[in-house]
Parts: sequence; C-alpha cells; structure tokens
Amino acid sequence: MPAICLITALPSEARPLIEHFRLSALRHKHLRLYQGTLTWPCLTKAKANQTSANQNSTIQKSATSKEVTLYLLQCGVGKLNAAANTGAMLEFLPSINAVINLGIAGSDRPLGQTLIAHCLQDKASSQQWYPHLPSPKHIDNTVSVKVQTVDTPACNYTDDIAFDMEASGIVTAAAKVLDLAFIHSIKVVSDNHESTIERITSKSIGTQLTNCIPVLNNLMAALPFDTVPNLADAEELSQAVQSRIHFSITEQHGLSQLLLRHKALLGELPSETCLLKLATAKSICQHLTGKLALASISY
Amino acid sequence: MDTIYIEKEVMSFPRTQAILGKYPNARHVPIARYTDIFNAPAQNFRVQKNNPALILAKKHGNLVLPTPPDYHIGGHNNYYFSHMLNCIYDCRYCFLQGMYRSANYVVFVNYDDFFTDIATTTNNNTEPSWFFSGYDCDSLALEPMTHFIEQCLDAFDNLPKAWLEIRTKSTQIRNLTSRTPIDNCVVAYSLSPENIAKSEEHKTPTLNKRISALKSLQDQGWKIGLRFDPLLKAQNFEQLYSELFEQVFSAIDASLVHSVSLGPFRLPKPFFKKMIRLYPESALLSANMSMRDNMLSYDEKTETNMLHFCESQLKDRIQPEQYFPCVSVS
Repeated sequence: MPAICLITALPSEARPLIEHFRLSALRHKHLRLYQGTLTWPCLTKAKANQTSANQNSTIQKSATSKEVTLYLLQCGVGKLNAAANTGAMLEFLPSINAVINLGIAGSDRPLGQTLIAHCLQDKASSQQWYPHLPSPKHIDNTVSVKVQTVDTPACNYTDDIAFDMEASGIVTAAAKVLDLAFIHSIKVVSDNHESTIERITSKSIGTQLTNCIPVLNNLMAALPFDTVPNLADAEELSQAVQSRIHFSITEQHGLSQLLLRHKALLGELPSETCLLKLATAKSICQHLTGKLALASISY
Repeated sequence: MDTIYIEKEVMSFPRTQAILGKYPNARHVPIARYTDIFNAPAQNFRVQKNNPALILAKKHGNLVLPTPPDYHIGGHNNYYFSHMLNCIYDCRYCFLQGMYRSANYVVFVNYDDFFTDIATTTNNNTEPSWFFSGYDCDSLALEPMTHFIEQCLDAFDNLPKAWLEIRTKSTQIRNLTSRTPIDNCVVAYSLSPENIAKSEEHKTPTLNKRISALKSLQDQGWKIGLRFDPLLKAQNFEQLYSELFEQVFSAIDASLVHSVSLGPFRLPKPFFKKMIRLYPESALLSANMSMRDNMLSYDEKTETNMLHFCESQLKDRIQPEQYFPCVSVS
C-alpha cells in the first residue's frame, strides 16, 4: 500500500486536512505527525499476471479501489524548518512514497485559487526543481505556476509566480529519496495586490485549504505508483533467508539480484524451503546462479 | 503531450509556435535551458515514460558528431546527428533508458543550424559523407509534429556529396511518399521477429506494418535499408529469425535493397545497471550476460553463433556488397 505524506507549515493549514481525512496524531518526540488511511475508487493500470517468463504481459484498465496510508506533517514556518522536519520524517517513515506540500501563497491571482507547482525555486540560491506533473485533465486543469520560496514574505506579486516560504526546503530534503514525480506542491492564493498579507486570518486559511482538497484528491489518485516495480516479495524472501543464514553485504546484494533475475526468467521466486536446505550463503548463490545459467527465453 | 517546456530563447520561433499549436490543451512551462530539466537528478525514466513531457530547445554546438568506428554502411566519413532526444517507443533493450535520466522528449527546433553544420562538414571532406539520423531518437516517429525529416530532405537534395540514413521503426512515411525520392537517402528500418517485437518493442508498429512501409517506399523508388539490430537471444532463435527473413524478403525486392546490417545486443555496463534497476522484471535484461570490451553482451560463443546463423540466412538472399556487419564475425 503506497504511503503519502502531506506537509503543511501552519496549524491552520493542517487543521482542515486533519479533519477532512480523519487523521489521528502519531506519537513522535520532535515531529508533529498525523496518520490515517485513505480509500477512493479510481481507475488504475493493472498489469495482468505474467503467464510466462517471456514478459508477454498486457496492460489492462480496470476499476479498482485504491488505498493509501496518509500522513500529515506540520513542519513549521520557513524553509529550514521545512527541510529539517521533512528529512526527519522521511528517516522516521521510510515507507513514504510521495510528499505533497500544501499551503498558502502570494500571487497576482484571485484569492482562494488553487495552484500547482510546475517549478519549485529557492529564491536565495536560484536552485530549482521541476516536479513531473500528471496530465492537467487528471487534476481538474489546475493552473500551474512557479512556486518561489522566499526567506521573508514578498509582495511583488505576478501571476506566474506564487511566493511561499517552505516548498524549496521540502523538495531539498525529499528529492534525496524520492523522484520528482512524487514530490508536489499545491498552493492556494492567500494574498495579492488587492488583499495583502496583513489580511490573512486563521479562518481564511482554513477555508482556502478546504477548497483545495478536491485537487489534492485528484493529484493523489494520479500519482504513478503503479509504474514503479514491486520488489516487495523478492525483498521479503531475501530477508527471510538472511534471518536464518549469514550473508555478507556483498552476498546480500548478490542474493537480491539473483532472486529478481529468478523471478524474471523463471516466472516465480525460488522456494524458501529449498534455499534454506542449502545452509550457506555461498551455496545458495551458487545454486541460483547455476539454475539461471540454464534458463532461456522463448518468444 | 500534456506538458511542454519551452526554452525562452526559442519561444518566438515560428517552428516552436507551430508545434505548440498542435497541442492546444498542454500546459506551457517556460525554462532557461533544457538541461535544467533533462539532466536534473531525482528523475525516474520508467515513471516519466508513462507520461512524457515535450521540451522545445535550441541545440548549441556539436550538432554533427563522428559515429563510433564500426557504425557505417560503406562510407569513410560517418557522422550522426540528433534533432531529438528520446523516443516515443519503449523498447526494453534500448540504450536510451540507461543513458538519460529523463524520458521526456527534447526537440531541438533550430533545424537550420543542423543543416548548416551538415553542409559545412560535407564540404570539408573530399569523399562523400554519411549522416545518420535516429541515433538518439526514432527519425520518423514524431515527424507529423516536427516535420524535421521533410526539411532535412530538402537540405540533402542540395548536397549531392552527402548521404542521409533515416533510421526508424515508424510507419509515418507520408512526408517521404508525398515527394520524389532523392538519390542520397536511405530509409533504414530496424526489424525484429514478430514475437520479439510484440514482447520487447512496446508501442512500436507491428512487423507487418514496418514491412508494408518498406515496400511502399521501395515501390516509390526510395533506397531502403534493413537493420536486424539488436539480435536477441532466444531458445527458438533460429525459427524466429528464419521466419523474419522469409517475411521481409518475400515482400520486398532484395536486389534493390541498399544495405543490410546485423547488430549484436551490447550495452555499456553503467547503462545496463541502470536499466535492470528500472525494469527488474525484464527477462531480456535478466538473461546471462558477460563483459567484453567494457560492454555487456551475450557470451562470445552465443553471439557468434547467432551472427553466423543470420549471415548464412542472408547469404542466399543478398549480395555481399549489400551486407554490412556491425562487427566482424570470427
């Protein structure tokens, strides 16, 4: 089951999401974390079971329900808080597959308009990242802009930039472990030329964040989890074997590769019982290598 | 195409505007240089391949490059150029998966700079020069959008000392069949046995469609080339490739084929390592390989047997002067 972490800076940004997704607090010494489960019906691409080792698989579209573990991190204001908390969260929750930053931003666009970042830029360093966005039609044709992270609030509004104070910190930390197809930033316009930053209230933030939930839902549904290879069963077998037989680090890597090749070439993983009978790491690797040397592909 | 990144430098180019006009619903993202996106870390080729974006850019410098030594079809001066990076097809053996971090398509819209470099390179050589298109992309697959080959043919029509090879798996040949063939151009199709194409060459036209395209081009007077590349190992290799040669040579006039080449399956080790990480479930990439000359390939004996078999099949169908092995068979 994929795991997504929503990241907001302020409690008033987090509150509507916690309520909407019915998240409950997760105990952690330093982080403000919440957790829940999300299920929604959607169209997913499901790979038909491979009937043979020749990879003759077909892609089928089927209506299924998709379930994800949803976390929320309230990281505090500013890019340093954002980077430090995101890094700590990803260390604490290594199963996270995607992070989505949500929050308010200043832009010369209508108040309350939901925007998605096609570029995240740290203004101080000019460093930038380009999230790989889903099709506009999958996210309600939400307008995309550059989200520029500033160190102090900015008011030189334009319609192609949204100012925030956390996004670059989040992406700096998250891009160490996640691909840019799984790091996104959704912003709601909280201030513009007509309604400046002083007029932002806790209540207005709550309303604006509530309004962006439909786009958030569509973005989460469009995240391409299905295209990432599933290595879980091979990894599980590898761990099970290693819990009984000592493998050096090199042998551990070798075992993982051999198990994946076994599955690819022979259509299934070897049996755990059979592997454990071999008693040593070396003999297991030799056995698998010998078996794979005889494997052939037929088209 | 859902997302189009556009270098600010090319935003106003008529060619850029023409391409943008074909995708009215795409989101447009202005960028400084294509490398900001294309070479950036934290990208997943496989994930992007599912929904690639288009990047419109200007190519600066090194527009025409010398080919590797074995890459030729008889000429002495051999070059390649890429007006595009990446391919709409998804062939599991393709080295582009290992070479690039991004699966987004880059189209360099300064076509005229390519043609100028090709003309300069041609004029610098006394002997004819060969230019290979389709090294980092499929030459024709996006032709309805780019119209690059259409304009390239006009350029080569005025360069009798230059030869063009258009390498493709695409059946987008309208821009060729709608004009008079030019003498100094070879349209070369990459061909694999039907079952291999179905299993490993995702999103490509079927073998039959490629053969039909070859026949149409040949009937119209275009020089055609056959590229059996890469040769993939299979338990039923001889059956697969016998059938392939039979299908191809029963449809076309072998005596009029400009050139035929064979190519063994070889990948630089870093590319291979990246590809197997992307596609651990691929049987093709999980097969036994050995390292030779810093390349991963089938073991030497297997490779030689495969090449010998194909050569023996071709010997009865083509003349020696039509055959160009990519490697010499010991």
